[in-house]
Amino acid sequence: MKQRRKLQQIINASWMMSGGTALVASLFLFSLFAFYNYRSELNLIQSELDSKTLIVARRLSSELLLAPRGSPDAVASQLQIELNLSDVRFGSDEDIRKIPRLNSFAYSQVKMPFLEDKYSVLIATPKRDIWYYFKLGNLLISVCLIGLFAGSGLYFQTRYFRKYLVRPIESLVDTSTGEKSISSDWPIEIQEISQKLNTSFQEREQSVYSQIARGVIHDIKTILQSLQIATDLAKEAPTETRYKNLLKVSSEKLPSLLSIVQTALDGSREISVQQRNLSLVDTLKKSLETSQSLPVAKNIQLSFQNPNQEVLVNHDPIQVERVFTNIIKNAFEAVESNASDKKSIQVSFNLENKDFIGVVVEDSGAGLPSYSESTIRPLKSSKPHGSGLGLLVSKKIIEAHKGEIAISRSSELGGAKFEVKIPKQALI
Amino acid sequence: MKLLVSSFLLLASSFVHSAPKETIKVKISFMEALAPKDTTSSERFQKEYEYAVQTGKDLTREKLRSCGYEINDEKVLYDASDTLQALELAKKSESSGAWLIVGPRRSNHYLLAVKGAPETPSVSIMASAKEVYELNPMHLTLAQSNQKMASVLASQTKAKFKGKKEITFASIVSEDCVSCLDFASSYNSEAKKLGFKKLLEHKIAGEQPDVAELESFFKSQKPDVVLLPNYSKVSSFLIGKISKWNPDTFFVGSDGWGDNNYGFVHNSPQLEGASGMTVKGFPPSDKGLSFFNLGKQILKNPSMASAFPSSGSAQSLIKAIEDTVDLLCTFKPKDKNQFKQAFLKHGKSEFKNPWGISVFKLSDGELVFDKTIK
Repeated sequence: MKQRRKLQQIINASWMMSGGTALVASLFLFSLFAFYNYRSELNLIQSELDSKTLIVARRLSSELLLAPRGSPDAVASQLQIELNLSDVRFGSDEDIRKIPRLNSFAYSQVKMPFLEDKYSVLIATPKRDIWYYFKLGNLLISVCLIGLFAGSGLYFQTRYFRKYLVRPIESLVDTSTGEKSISSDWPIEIQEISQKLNTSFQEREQSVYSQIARGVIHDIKTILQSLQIATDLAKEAPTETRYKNLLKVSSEKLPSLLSIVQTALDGSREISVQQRNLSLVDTLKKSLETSQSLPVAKNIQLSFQNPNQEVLVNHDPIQVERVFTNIIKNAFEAVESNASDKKSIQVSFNLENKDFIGVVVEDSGAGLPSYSESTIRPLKSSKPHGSGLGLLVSKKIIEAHKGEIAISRSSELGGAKFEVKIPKQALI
Repeated sequence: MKLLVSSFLLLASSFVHSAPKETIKVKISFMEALAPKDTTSSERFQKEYEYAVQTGKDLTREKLRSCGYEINDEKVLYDASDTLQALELAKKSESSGAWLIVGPRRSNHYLLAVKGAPETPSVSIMASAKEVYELNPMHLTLAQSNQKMASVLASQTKAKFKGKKEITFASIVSEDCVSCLDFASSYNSEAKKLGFKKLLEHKIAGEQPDVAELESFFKSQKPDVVLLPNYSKVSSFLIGKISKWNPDTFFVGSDGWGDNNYGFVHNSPQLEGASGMTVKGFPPSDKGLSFFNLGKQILKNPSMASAFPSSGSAQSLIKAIEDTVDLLCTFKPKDKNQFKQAFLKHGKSEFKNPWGISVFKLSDGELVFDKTIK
């Protein structure tokens, strides 16, 4: 799975890349300069050596011309010290040629003036190896200097980006919901996006509220209409039968009414759970009993695969029972509305995963248009007049348990498959 | 009529006789080395050198003209550190038709100049090496020989240590100075004759040689005399070192030791307290000028006498010019060849040193004239 990265991380990565490029550039420049210095110094050494050779040749020539009294050897030694040379040799051309040339020295040879046919002079001075110029100190200084300039530039660039790009983008979520205001310092494009998002969010909020209100109100209205009819009948002819009917309708409809109101309330607020280490099988069984008493449950085959073992999990039994009831109820409604002959619902446990306990509800209904997370959102009910709050509240309850509801297609029954996953070590 | 004709003839002949004679231009090259590091060859020296040449020319112009000559001088000054220039420039002077080459002072340079211009007569104003005296008669020097000067120095040293049974000495000589080696050799022989005991003979090179190895010798052996026949800068450097090791040392040198006008070496605190002696081929000019005619002429003119440089080389230059004029006016050569022949035959007798040998004492860093010995 690709690792998700924050905008700041991306900017930091680009910063690192720029820094890396600067480092490579500094290394390249350092190498170039080191080589240039080596060549320059080499040329300078040779040029100086050539002019020193002339001086030496002339001095030695004058001593040799004064032979036998001249002191060429003494003058050669003196010149070697005076001119800071490694070696001063003179002799016949052939003798001079035979002197080996070492790589660590620079040499210069010239014939002696007025004694060209007899004597030549050779002088030597040490020269530095090319690697001398690739000094660690110089490299560190180059890298530090370039790093300083590049780093400073990148630092200011990062700050600038942070102020005018990163923060505005990070704030898009909050500005779209109205929690933060749009700053006039932001780039115009981001201000426009923020504005549009904010408007869209408000419109959507309004739409959601309207839809929820319509859904809830319609459900409440339907129930109240039933109660009204039963009440009107009892009022019209206050017979025991009619009163019994009224009581029956009340006892059937009032809990639903309460449930609808409760769900609407739960959908609009945070849900708190009271977790206890109890049997999840028992909780599911209660839910199954409640579901099977629904009118929509007739003619539909519900099968439950009991794990036949203790499944103790930290959970809020009342809230989780609501979840199971909602999902099973949805399953019944989906199967019932499907024209297919196959009408079955299958409920089972998934105990294979080491991290969570799964309760699986599969149906043979028409299935869902989409199996993504966005299925569980307001306005996403597949029922024509549904508000979508039921699944939303169920999701909230399970998320309060640090679990999740996974939706997929049932390969066995062909309809939807809901798996409620509750962590084995649920945290309060 | 006859009277008129004779008068006319007389008048015409007087015109013929009084018409100016055509003078022969004699090209003389005055060659000298300049070494800014050495106080005896500084910019000041160059000015004094040129002044001396000009003075010599001025004083001899009339006489020369009357003899039918005119000196066409060429000053050839070069860097003393590049000795080979003496050969090159002498060669150039010879090819440009110089009749005579005067200078350089130093023996090394003069010997090279002779090699460069072997067919041109030359006179050195101060070269004193043995090899100079062995040259053919076309090449002369006005200086006293090293052998004579060394002999005087040795006898004066003996006189200084009168009463001492055995005088011990050490010599430290610049290996790259022909004249210095020659002087040292002569002094050794003269000292040996006088019974001196030689403790050390050491050769050096350069102006500030490393002599640390000699410290223990001087501290332990303490020779009475140290011979330093080298040029000024080297000698003063060595005096400074050795006098610290043994303050009682008596230093002796040759004519390479500065001159009394400059002191030994300018600003030489190392010479304080050091005592010694040296010999030269010339006395100070206030005395030396009286030894020859042109010099006497200069002394007769107080302003000229006071302006005249006191260095031996200036006196020697004037003397060389005087001798050249005498040679020209006596033998009247018409061209260089004839001048050469006259020089070969009579040069030795014309170009003579009139001064004898002068003794100078080293006192508080100054060279003070003591006496002249003929």
